[in-house]
Amino acid sequence: MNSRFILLCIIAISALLALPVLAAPDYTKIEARVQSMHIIPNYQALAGSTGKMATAIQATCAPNASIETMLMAQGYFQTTLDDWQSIQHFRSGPVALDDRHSRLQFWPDKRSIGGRHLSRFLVKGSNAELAPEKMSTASVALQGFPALERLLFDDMPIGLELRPDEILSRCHVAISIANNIAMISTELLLESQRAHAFGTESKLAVRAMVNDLITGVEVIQRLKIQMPMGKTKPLLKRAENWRSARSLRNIELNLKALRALTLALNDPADTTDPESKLIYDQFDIAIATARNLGADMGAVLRTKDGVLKLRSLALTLDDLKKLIAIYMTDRLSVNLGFNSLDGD
Amino acid sequence: MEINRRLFISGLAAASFITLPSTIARADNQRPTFITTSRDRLSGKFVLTCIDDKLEIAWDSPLPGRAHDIVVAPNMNQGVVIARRPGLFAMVFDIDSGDPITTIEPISGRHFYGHATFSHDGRTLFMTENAYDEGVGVIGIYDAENQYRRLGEFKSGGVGPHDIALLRDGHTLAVANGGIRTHPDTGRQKLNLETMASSLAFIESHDGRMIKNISIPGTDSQSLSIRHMTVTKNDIVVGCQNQSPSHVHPLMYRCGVAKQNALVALVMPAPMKKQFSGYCGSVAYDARSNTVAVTSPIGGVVGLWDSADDFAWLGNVQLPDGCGVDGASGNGGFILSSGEGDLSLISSDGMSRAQENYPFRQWDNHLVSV
Repeated sequence: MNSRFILLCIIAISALLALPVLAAPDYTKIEARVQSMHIIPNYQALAGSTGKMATAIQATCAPNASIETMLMAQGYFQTTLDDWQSIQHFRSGPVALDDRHSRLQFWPDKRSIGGRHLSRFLVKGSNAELAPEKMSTASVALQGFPALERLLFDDMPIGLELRPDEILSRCHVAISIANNIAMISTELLLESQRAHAFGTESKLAVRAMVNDLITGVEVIQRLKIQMPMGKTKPLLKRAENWRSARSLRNIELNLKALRALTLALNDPADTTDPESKLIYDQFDIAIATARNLGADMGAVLRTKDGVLKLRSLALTLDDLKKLIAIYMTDRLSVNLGFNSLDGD
Repeated sequence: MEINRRLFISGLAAASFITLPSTIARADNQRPTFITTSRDRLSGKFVLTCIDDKLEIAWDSPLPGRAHDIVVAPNMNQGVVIARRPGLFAMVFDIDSGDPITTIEPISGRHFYGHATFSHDGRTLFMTENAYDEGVGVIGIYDAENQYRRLGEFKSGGVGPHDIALLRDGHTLAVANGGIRTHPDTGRQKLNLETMASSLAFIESHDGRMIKNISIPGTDSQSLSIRHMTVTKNDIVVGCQNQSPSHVHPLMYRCGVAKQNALVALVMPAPMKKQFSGYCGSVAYDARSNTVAVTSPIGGVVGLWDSADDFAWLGNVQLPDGCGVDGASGNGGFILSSGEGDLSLISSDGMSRAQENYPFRQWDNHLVSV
């Protein structure tokens, strides 16, 4: 009898048991707690690192920029991606406004829209279009991390020198994108610091947070793991951030962040609750599994049993998703159903 | 489920509202098969979607907000997707591409209730509307040949008209008056549950004359709100929502279209009645098998009745958060959709023929076969 079977039995039996009637949660308190413990610190980190990344990329445009300068820009990109992956799971709240989520990261991009838009921009764009107000209204596929990753990791060095047929230097485009990312991140920080930043009553804000929590796990499972696994053979370039070789590092950071969100949604002072412990334990198993696989999913997929290892991680996440769907929705008295919750 | 192309399209569409054209064009010249609406879980945006007979997404078209039902013009070139109550838009769209053609807005003092029907010649559109200051239901009349100009209105015969259908005679409208009064100032809050009175009204579409207005029989039926309906060979079948917590009262009724005399309860096994939880979401008819299907998203179940055998109970299909249903063309049976991203083709005896899941799509209340 394996551990997954036992876990599924626990889930099934627990779901059948009558659950105790609990007092209505204090949604105002929960919203404020998630905001102060999780959302603001993470947007703070992102705003800080995006600013530093923009400065580092600025240096690549210096006439005497060295390979070390380029590597330093790549390093700052990696640090900034760490911070983005720690708050990427939020799709509601301030990030839902003005298409900020897609502008920061247009992904997945199976049709390579980002690549085509970037190539066209380098050949047909103008310096005027690098201005902040222009970049913030450009194609979302051009505005965020994926386009910047292409410039920093596909085409090193990205210096001042123009390439054949191109009329914009790659470092200037990279600076414009990095500044745009920094600007969006600053907007997110400022707006997330406002009271009731989700712009709705607290119960609906908490419901949106739980929805983001479950969607976050599902995105990892289906888009970040199962999509690059492929149906018949691995599709290495479907992995998130495969250019910077950090697909699995993203997943580890996502899971840590989602665990932190779960902790903030629960009462962090109550460490004895057995149902919460089940969820935290499952998170810990998934985090350890992801960490042990390394940073680059491509490297795992190229090994003989790589697909099996990733499938195992996906199954762990499936169990985790069920635990969250049963216990968190019940504990917080929020229903994630769509038609059943709000039909007509 | 392993990740597949459909899933990817779903994910891509979520992130594509700015960079891509307003619709994802069809890759072939096939006619669309099913049209529905959904909420994209990744972007939180609402989308009008065409699904083909392989249950793949043929096109997506962004919506200005959450919608409810869709009606297709008899000439099959245009459709109208109507906003959910209190609705402030009805978007006319091209059936083959999803491209918006025009948008109908309610006149002052009215909002849409989410349902409409075309006249058989396709020249007129009838929409259920709320005259909210007066607290009465009306049927708005629109000229489909003249940019959907509003021609006028007539009374619906009750409060809160919801679903509407044109009978096969081509001139009688059947209107489900839900009986519940709402006002935009108080959102979707129900204002008259103590006194609500639901009815099924038969109205002459040419002049608005009330032909008959019948209620659900029984002294304890006051809390039932007739919401949705389908027209079978000889009957209208209506599905109700019970505004009281009791789950013992029948939810499904039929009424012969010839005499329009009375609403008669359909048989439903007691455990199933309990599972339906007092809530019917959508009602549909498959003419090939004479089967009626009714969904209950709260119960996560779909009930099936045989209209050719005095509406005998056939059985059920379990579908969590399942709500959208319509008769499938071709081999018959039904297509079902759920708020958990499921699309399912079933035969009239409930056997699964094909299914697909779009994990980031929450399919909304209704879908229609084209």
